[in-house]
Amino acid sequence: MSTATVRAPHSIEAAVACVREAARDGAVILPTGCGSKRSWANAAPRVDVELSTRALTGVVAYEPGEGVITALAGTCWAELQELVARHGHHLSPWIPDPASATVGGVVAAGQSGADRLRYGPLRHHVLGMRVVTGAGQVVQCGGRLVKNVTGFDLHRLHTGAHGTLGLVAEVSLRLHAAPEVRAAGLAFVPTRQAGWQLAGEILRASRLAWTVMVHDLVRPGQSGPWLVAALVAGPAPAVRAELAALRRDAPQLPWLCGAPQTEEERRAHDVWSGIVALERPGATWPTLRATTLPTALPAACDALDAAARAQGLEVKLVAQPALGVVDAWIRGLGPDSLASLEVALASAGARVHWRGLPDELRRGQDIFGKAEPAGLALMRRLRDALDPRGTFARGRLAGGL
Amino acid sequence: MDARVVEELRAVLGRDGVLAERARRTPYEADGLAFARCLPELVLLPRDTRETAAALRVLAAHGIPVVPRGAGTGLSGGATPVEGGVVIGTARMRRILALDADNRLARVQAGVVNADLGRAAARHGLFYAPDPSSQKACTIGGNVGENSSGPHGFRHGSTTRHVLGLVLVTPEGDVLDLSRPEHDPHGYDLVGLFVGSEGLLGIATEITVALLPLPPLVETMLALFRDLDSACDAVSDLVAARLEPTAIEVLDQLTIEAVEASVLAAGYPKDAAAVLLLESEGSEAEVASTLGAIEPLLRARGAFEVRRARDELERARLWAGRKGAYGAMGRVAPDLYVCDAVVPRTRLAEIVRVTIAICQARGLRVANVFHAGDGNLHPNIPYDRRDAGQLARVLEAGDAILDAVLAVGGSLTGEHGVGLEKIGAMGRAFSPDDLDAQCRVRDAWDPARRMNPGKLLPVHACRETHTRDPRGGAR
Amino acid sequence: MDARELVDYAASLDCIHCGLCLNTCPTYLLTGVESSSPRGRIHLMRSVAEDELQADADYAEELDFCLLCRHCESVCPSGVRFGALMEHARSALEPVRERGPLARLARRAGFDLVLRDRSALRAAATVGRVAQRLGLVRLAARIGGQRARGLADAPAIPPAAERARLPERTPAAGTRRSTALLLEGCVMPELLGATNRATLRVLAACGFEVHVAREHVCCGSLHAHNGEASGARALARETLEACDARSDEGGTPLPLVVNSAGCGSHLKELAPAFAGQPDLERRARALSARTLDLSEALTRGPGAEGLAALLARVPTPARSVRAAWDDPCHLLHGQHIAREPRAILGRIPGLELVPMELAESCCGSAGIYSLLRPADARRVLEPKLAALAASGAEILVTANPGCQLQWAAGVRRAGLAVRVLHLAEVLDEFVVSVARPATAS
Repeated sequence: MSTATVRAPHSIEAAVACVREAARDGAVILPTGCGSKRSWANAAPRVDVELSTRALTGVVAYEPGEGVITALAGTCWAELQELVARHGHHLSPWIPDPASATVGGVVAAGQSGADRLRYGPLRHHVLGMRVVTGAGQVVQCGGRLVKNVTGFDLHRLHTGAHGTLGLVAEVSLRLHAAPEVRAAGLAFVPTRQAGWQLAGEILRASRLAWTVMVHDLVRPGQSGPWLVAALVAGPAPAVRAELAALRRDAPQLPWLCGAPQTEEERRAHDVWSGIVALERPGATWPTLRATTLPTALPAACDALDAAARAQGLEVKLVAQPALGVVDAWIRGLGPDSLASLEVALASAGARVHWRGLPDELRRGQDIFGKAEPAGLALMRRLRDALDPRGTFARGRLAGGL
Repeated sequence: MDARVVEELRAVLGRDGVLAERARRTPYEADGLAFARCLPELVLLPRDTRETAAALRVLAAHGIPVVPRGAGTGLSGGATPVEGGVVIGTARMRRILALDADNRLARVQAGVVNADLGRAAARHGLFYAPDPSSQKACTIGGNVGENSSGPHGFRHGSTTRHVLGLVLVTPEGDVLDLSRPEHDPHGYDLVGLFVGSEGLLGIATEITVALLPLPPLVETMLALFRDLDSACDAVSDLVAARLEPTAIEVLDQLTIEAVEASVLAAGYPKDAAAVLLLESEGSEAEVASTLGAIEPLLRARGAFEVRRARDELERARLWAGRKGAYGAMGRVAPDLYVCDAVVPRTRLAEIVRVTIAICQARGLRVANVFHAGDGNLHPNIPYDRRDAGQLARVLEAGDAILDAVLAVGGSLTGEHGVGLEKIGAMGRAFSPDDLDAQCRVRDAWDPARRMNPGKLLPVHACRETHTRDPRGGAR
Repeated sequence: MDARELVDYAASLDCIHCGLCLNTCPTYLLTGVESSSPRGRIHLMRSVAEDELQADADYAEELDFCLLCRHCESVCPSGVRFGALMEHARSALEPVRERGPLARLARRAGFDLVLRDRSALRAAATVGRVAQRLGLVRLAARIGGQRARGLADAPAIPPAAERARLPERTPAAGTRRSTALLLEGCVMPELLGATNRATLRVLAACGFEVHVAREHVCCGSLHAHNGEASGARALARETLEACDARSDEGGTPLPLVVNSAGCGSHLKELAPAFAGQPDLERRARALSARTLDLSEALTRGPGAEGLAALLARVPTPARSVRAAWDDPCHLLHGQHIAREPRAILGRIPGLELVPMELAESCCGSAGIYSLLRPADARRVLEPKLAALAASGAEILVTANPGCQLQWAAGVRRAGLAVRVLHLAEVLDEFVVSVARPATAS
């Protein structure tokens, strides 16, 4: 990869020229943004040109009255967040590292945020995009409207495809009303079981929760404490009413919440940001994201714990019980332990996705697990139809896509 | 149809599963787009995934085109049969296979009726969000095919947001199980691509959908306006103010007259030129704050009366009236052409004015009843299909409306699909390169182009099929 | 025959093809076949009228398969009068359709002889009872195979004593509040005499002086539903004459109380039978206007007062009984009556009205449908039997003779411990027979 040429076009037209040139030369392109989620995909066997979107920046269209924003792929996520916030909008997903993420990168990696419980996964917010294909065409997928069923939803294919089907050059996203008030609730519980229970109580009483997490703050072999964190946001009267209900149904959880723009409200927000940052994969600790049905999550966490302990690994879990998602930070991994953790999770009905593995571990691994995704043959046909000459680097997704 | 093919199909579907008699095939010659007709060679009614796959294998072996059909309530001709083709209906796949209240999901057969799923979910304190106006008849499979929506799509989004997984049968008859317990697809999002593919990529036989908890409180509000423009401007204001009720609908006077003359009479005021129907759900405080913030904006735009439904009964009647508006238009004329287009929500009043002018210029009446909060227009044009001249003017008006919509950055369809109806306009909405990408996707799934040919994608290979629809596949 | 005359083409154009009726149609729900749905059948009718489709045996079969429950009318936003369309299509087809000689004979005997003449009706009941007692019916059903299977499902005909006619005049029990004419019905006295007598006692107890037109036989609703338009017209005329001949002391024609939803629905839509005869049309409309279902007679005017006074005299029993109301199609969809019977049942001390799913759907009785197509009628009832079992009701209440018989047979087959009663029987048992005597005031 070190031999790859880096190109950073300033416009979609220039990007088209880069792709056509690479296609003509038979070179293989790897699209990149900030590079923060490169380790979320498998290592490409061959890359000749790194096509960076870092110069492909800027907002193409944002009419606040419409609630939709369209930006070029290299636009920084944090900049967009700040822009729309000035007009009372919230940009979902709420991600831990917005300053080092681009619009194109978030979309290509299919990154959802800490607000997923409230707003759904990233793919629900992507209204359309423009994509540069391997043949150097610019294809419009979807549009800039909040509702639209014209033609196939090709943007759904590109969302999460890590650029294997083309370069996502421009994206249109649906915006939401920014919450008026934010509240944070934090409580320590003695066992993980108590954590599941408290989380369940919060979820039953809450309609406005952005996220409810059960954090593992301990080292293996030690007991407690566990942290339960909940974030609630929305219009001020609704949040106040909900907190009243939560204080009744989940009294162990103290809440930090004040009127909009007050010191306490800002502190609540800081706590939020801190919790969201906890989700950030550690620089040295790779993360394993396991997903399953919410009811199967406790068993998956137990299986993960047991397997890690058997390997003598250090592991910390951050679980989102309503979503059936657990992120495990793990230190001391080797190739064998990767496989055994995968097996343990698969037997508990969970699917794995490794993030942040060091290159030497990532090479030769399928970070999406060994199980082939259903419909792999069809996915290959689709890839070959959209990028017949293999202009974009392959082998980066599950099943060698 | 070749007698041997019929026998092979009977062998896999049983005698009841193959309709060959003319009288029994006749009602399948059209869906909700009643003017487009074509008698299918056969109608097949499989009972499950296995039978669907077996039937598709037989049809693939003989190269016979296939048109999937749910309840035939679609309005874009998505289920209009094609010459020499068969219809595969899902009407005998009506079982709710599992309802998992703890994980808030349900697995249903494709022919389960939308409202039936809603009723089953309600027993567990849950609901299925997409609520097309035809929800009492339309099927989840049909909703998946069209990526259907409805009034509450304003808050909850279209079908695609609520589909977690699919079992589908490919055009060759292979079964693909894309039901997944995890949240994000590994590999490409085939489910996301399939939803809204209008029957071109195969037949979904089992669908896993997300269910939502029923809100503790739902309130419905009516705002009365003296002109349609003000009602539309009020909607633009609500959107700009980032208020999030669950539904924002507009009904004009002609629509209200038709509804109030029907069994669905709900007490809509007949003296208003336009009515905004709004709904908010959530906790008491949430609903109160949302509706409280909305009312002054409506008054500022000239709403002369703003009131709330008194009780659940009135609420239910208002919605039944809104959802039956299309059928109620049958009182105005024998046929009704329902346009479906989306415009930016900042341009609502302007485009509604244009659509009315377009119809008036052609001597046509038009009733507007639409999902205003999403910018999803539905100009309804009553006509009589026995009058060929009138039908031609209706279609011309439909085309002119689409041009006006495209000119402001709108889209051809928000929920009814392209189908047969709008295939001629696809070339105006997309560049040749855009369409080429879509054709490549279709060819990757269905190289023989046997699934619902002549719909959605205007490709040369589709042109040999034609119907008696005057705008049919010849375009 | 001109194809256009086979169908009421103009009325068929009211259908806009929206499909909202599909999920209400019992035969569509059974088969999933659209030609067996209201929209599909209208499509067939239009196609016949437009010469796109032959009125062949398959077409006739789809017309026959329809239960004429009119559930579709209750949900049709476009206001299609499906019942009238179907009656028209059946009667227009009848003269040209092919039937076997035996079927033709049975039809003529039934519609032209038995249902037209009280003595023939009574004789048929006597013969039928003897045949049932001797096991001849079961034998015939076995020999007759598929076509004769309905015979085995036919209701048991009660002994002669229970088939007694109602008296010409019955005085009110206690204060007379009003006078009414009660429709005795054609098969009612023969099969459900007990229901008729209960109706009489309830009306009398609620202060009605009750008259019965003993010379009258049949209102013609079965004829109209089954494509016998001319027979229906003749019987409509007879009914009109019999009813118009009864008036109170002031010369005002008596209100007509009906305990059969099918007859009530027919009588409320009698005028079209006299199209082109303005005088008769006017009289028919007047009769329709004064026709009341029993539940209406007991929830408005003097009947409501009488029932209230009666209920006030009913002691609250120690144990309550759970009852479910099943809407007869021709009450709910034909007459739009849903509230009245529930209001009455809800007020009876000791009776707990429990909700039953699918109450608004057809039970499969549908006039003589359950005799003509017993297998289909049974399948239509199946889901409702399950709903009944799930409701936990101990009594199933209905208000139409056909539904009563159909439910009774179904409950027996399913082995449910549920009594099937007519609304009048419930009132008779739980109100009239247990009410304290009125104190003289």
